[in-house]
Amino acid sequence: MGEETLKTTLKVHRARLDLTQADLAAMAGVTRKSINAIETGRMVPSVILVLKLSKVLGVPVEDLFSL
Amino acid sequence: MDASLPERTEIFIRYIRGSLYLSLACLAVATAALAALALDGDGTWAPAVTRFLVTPFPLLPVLMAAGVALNMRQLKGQRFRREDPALRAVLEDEQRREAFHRAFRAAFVTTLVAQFPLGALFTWRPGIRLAPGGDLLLLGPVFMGAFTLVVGLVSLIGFFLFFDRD
Repeated sequence: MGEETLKTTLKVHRARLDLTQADLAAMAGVTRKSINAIETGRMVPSVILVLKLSKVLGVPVEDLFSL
Repeated sequence: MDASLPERTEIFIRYIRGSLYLSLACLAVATAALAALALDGDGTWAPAVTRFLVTPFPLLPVLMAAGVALNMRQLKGQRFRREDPALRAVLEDEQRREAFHRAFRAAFVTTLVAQFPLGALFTWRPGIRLAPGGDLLLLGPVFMGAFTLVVGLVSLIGFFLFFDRD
C-alpha cells in the first residue's frame, strides 16, 4: 500500500484573504516555517493546528485538508 | 518602534538560530582543546597542537563576547517575555518541535555509531595515578565519555539547524 499524503488548499484560502504566510502564522500562533511546511506538504499538522487554521480562515476543515 | 507580531517572530527565530551557531563555534573550540589533550600520547606532536590552541587563547573570551554582542543585535531591542505571543509561537511551533524530534533521533544514532571509532581511538590510552599509590584512573573511558558528550551535543545542534532550515 502506498503512503498516503495530505492534500491542502491552505495556500488558496490564504491568498483569498490576501494573507502572507507570516500573517497567517501569527494568527494561528505558529511560525511562518510551519505554514510553509504545511503548504508544501513537508509537514502534517496536528489536529489542534488544523482546527486553529480552519477557525482563522473561516473554512471547514474538510475544505482545507483532504487525503 | 514596535515591531509587528510576524516581525517579532522572525527576530526571535533568527536570534535563537544565531545562538545555536554560536554554541556550535564554542563547542568546536572545546572539541579542539579536548582532542589535543586526548591525543597527547607520548607528546611527540601534541605540543605543537596545544601551542596552536593556547596562543590565541586570551583572545577567545573577547571573540565569544563579540559573537554574543553581535547576536544580541539581532534582537533589535526585543525582550524575552513569556507572555509575548511571538515568543510563544516560536517555542511552541510544531515545525520546530518536529525538527527537534528528528534531530534528537539522528543525534542518538550518530552518538551510538560514534562509540566504535571513539573506542578504537582511546582504548590504547594508559591509565594515570592522580596521587602516588592512588587509584589508577583509566583515561580511555574518561575521554570516550567526554567525546560522547561533545559528539551528542554537536550532532543535536547541527541536525536541528539542518532540519529547521528554511
